[in-house]
Amino acid sequence: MRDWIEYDATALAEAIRTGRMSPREAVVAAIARVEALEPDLRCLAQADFEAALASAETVDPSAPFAGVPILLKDYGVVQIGLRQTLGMRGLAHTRAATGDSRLGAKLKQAGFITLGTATCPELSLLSSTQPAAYGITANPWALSHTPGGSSGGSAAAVAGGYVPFAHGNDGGGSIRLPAGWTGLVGLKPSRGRIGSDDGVVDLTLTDFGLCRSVRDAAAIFNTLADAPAGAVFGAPARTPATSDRLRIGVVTSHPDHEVAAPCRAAVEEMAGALRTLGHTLVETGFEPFALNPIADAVSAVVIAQIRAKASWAEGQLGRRLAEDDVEPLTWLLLNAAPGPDAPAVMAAWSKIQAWARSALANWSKSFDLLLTPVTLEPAPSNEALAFNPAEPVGQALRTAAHCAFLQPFNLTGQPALALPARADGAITPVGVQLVALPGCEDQLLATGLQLEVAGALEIGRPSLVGLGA
Amino acid sequence: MSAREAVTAAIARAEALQDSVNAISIPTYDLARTIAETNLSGPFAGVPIVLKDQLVEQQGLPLHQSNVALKRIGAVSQRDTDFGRRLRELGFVTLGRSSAPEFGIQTTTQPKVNGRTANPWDLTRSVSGSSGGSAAAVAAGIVPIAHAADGGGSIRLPAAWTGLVGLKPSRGAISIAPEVVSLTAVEFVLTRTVRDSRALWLALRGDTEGDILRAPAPPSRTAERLRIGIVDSLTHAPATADCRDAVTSAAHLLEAMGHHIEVTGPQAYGETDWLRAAGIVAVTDFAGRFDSLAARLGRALTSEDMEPYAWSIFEAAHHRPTGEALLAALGEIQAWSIRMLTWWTDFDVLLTPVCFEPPASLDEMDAELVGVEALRTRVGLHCRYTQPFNFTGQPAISVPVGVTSDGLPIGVQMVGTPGGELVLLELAAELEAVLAWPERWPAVAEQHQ
Repeated sequence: MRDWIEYDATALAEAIRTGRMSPREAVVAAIARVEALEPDLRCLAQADFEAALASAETVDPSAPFAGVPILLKDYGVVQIGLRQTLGMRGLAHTRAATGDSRLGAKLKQAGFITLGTATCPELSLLSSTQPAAYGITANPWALSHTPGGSSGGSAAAVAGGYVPFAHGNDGGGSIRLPAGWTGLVGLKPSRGRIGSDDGVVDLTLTDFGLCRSVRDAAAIFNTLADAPAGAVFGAPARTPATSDRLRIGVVTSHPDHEVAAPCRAAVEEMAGALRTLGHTLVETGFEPFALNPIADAVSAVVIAQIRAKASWAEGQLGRRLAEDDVEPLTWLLLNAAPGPDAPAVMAAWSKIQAWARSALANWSKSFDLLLTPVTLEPAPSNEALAFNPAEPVGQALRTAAHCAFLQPFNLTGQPALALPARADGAITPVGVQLVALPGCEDQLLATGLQLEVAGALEIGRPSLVGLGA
Repeated sequence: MSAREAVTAAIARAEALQDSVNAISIPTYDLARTIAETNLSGPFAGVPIVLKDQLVEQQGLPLHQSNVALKRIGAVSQRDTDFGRRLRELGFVTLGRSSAPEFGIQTTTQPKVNGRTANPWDLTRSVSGSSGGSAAAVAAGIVPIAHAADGGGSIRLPAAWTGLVGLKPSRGAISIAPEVVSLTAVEFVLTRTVRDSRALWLALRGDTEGDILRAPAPPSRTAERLRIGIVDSLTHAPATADCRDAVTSAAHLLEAMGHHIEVTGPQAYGETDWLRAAGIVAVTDFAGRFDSLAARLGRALTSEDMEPYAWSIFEAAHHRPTGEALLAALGEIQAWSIRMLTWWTDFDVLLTPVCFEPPASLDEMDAELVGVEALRTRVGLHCRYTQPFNFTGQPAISVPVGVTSDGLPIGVQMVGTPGGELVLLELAAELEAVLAWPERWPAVAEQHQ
C-alpha cells in the first residue's frame, strides 16, 4: 500500500475496485490518520467510526467511489445518525438526523463512506474556523495558522490526509478560500447545480467540496451534479468544454484592497503556465465585480440568509436562541438591528441581478476564463482572526476582505475553481482562482486538468513534523 | 402585403371592434403607423401586435397597469425591457397596450380605468385575465399574436376562455426584465395557432448571463409515445361537467394517436398546504409592487389610488413577512415542487382542466356587483389548476379542445417538466391537426371580415 496521503479519491477507488485494498482497510487507514492528527488539527465536529466501519462492509462495490472515506461539513448536508450543528454551541447536543438529505443520499449512492462531520465557524460566517463549540481548527501546513473558512474543517482534513475528499459549501468563498490556504482544489459550481437541501432557499450558497486533485474534482462533480427538477434556482445547462486555445483575463490587483506579493506572484506564475499551454492571457481589472455599488443589497441578502439559518436552528431546538447558545458576533448580528423584510430581500435580489447582468455583459466578448488570486493575503494566524471584544465585528470585516475576489461570483452565480499555486515566501499555500460563465464548470475543470497534467499545480504535502504522522 | 397595409388593416379592425370588444386600453396607432414606415427587419417584420399593459416595456410606450394613479401621471416607459427589445428585433409593430385587470391580479378584465373587455365568443361574458385584452384582440382577429404574462394562470386562463393557444414557459426560460426577479411571473404570447406559439418560443427563449432564475436544459425525449396522466377535477375546486368532458375528450384523442393515458396525477397537485407558503411569496410580491408604485408617485398610497379590489390586497400586504420567513417559505415551496416533479419521472405530461368552469359572465366577475370578498374567492378558484405550476416553475399550455353547449371555448392544460416546452407544443400541434381550431371564429369577428 502506498502512503495513505498519496491517494486521491480516484486512485483510492481504483485500488479498492481492483481488490488491492478493501473498503474496510481504507476506512481503518483513515481512522488511524484521524486519531494520530486530530489532537493537533481539531477538524472534526462529530465522528462515528463504528458506523463508517459498518458501512464499509455493506457498500455497493459497483458505486464509482465505493469505500472511499469522506467527511461532511457540519453545515448544509445531513445523513442518518449525524447531527448538523452549524458550528453552534446550542445545537451541539441536538438529536442526530433520522434521514438523509438529497445530497447526503447522493454521496452514499456514489459509494463514499462518511467518517463524521468537519468543523465550520458558527453559521459558516467567517474566514477562519474556530467555533466555540469545537475549538480552533489548525492549518496542517502551520499549526498556528487558520485553514480558512467556512469549510475549514473540511480543508484541514483533506490537506492533513484524513480523507481524499470532504464535502463543503460556498456562499461567499467558503470552499475556495480554505482550498487556497491549504493547497487544495476547491470547486464552487454554478448556482443551482448542487443545491443545498435543508429547507432554506439561499441565493449564494452552492455545495461541493475540497479535493486533492483536479481529476477528483471532475469525477466527483460528474457524480454529484444533478439539480433536482423543481428547485427555485434552476441550474444553467452544462456547456461542454472546448479544447481550443482560450482567452483568459488575468487579475492581479483589486480596486478596493492591496494584494500581498505572494498572492500576486501566484497568479503571475499560473498565467505563465497557461501561456505555455497555448492560451492567450490578457491583463484586466476587477472593477466590474467590485461589490461597492450593491453593498446594501448584498448585506440584506446575507443577513436574511443568516437569520433564516438561525430560525432553522430554533426549529431544531424547539425554542428561541438564547445568548449562550451562540457566539458574541452571531448574537450581535442577530440582535443589532431588525433583519430586512421580505420585500427588501426581493428588491435586493433584483438589484443584484441588474448588477450581475451588467458585470457579465461583455464577458464572452472579452474572455473565456478569468484568473484571479483566491485571497488578498496568505493564511493569517488563528490568533489574528480570533474574536476581539474591543472590535466585535472585526472578524466579519476581515472575512469580507478575504472574500473580495470570491464573493462576487456567488452573486453572479458563476462557477469558480481554486487551484493550488507555488507560494514562494509564504509558509502556507497560496491559491489562484479560475472563473467561467454560468454553466461552464466543465471548461474550468478541463483547464485545471491541463495544468495538473503539465505539473503546474502545487498539491504538496504538509510536513507535519513532530505530529503523529 | 406591405407593413403599412398590415398595420392599417389591424388598426381598422381594432377601431371597428373597440366598442363591442374593448380589447385595447391605450392605442398608440400613430406611433405604429410611423414605425410601419421605417425599414423593418426580422422574421416578423411588419406584423402588428399588442402588448399587455403590464411588465413588458418599450421606450415611449405608456405603462399604466390599468391603474388610475399611473394613468393620471401619464406613465411612459423610458426604456425597453429584454422582452420588449426582442419583440422589436423580430420586426413586430406595437399597436398599443391591451387591457388587463388592475395590476394583473384578477381573472377578469374589467378595470375601472378602461371598462369591460368582452369575450368575442359572447359579449356578455368575461375573457378572464389577466392577459384578457390580449386574448380578446387575438380571438377577435385584430392581431394574430399578442403579448401576455402569467403569474398564476394569466396566459392560460384567457386562452381557455377565448379559444386560443396559451403557453406559460418555464421559470427563467425567457428573461422577464432587466431587474425584476419573480418566482411566479413569466411572459410570453397568446396565439391562434400552435405554429405561431412554436415560432415565437424558438425566437424568444433564452436568458441573459447574470439572471438569477434560469430554466434547465430541455429534457431528452426518448419516445414518440408519451406517457400522459390525467386529472379531470380537484376536490378544492371541482370542475364542471363541461370542463371534465374536455379533458376526457382530449385524452381520447391523444390515446387514439398512440399515446399512453392513465387516470392519475401527482399527489402534490391536489394538496393545499403549500398555499400558506405561497401566500407569503404573494404578499411579498404585492408589497414590493406597491412600494414601487409609491416611489413612482413620490408619496404614500391612498385608497383613491386604486380599485377597492387592489386596495384590499394592499391592506393585507401591510403585514410584511420577514426576510427569513420568505426564505423558509421558498424552501417549503421548493420541497413541495421537488416532490411534485418526481411524478414526472414516470410520466411526460399531465393533462388537466385550465379552469374549473367555462367563461363566466361579466356581471358575475364585477367587484361592484358581487363584492370584493366574493370576487377574491372566485379568482382563487379560477387559478387552482394553473397556479401550482407557476410555483413549481413548470411549462404549461392551454389548448382549446372543448366547446360548451352554447359554443363557448373550453381549454385543457398540458403540463411538462422545466425546459420541456417543445414536448407540449408538439402535443398541442397533434391536437390542432385533428381539431382545426384556428378555423373557428367568433361571430363578432366574422361580422367584421
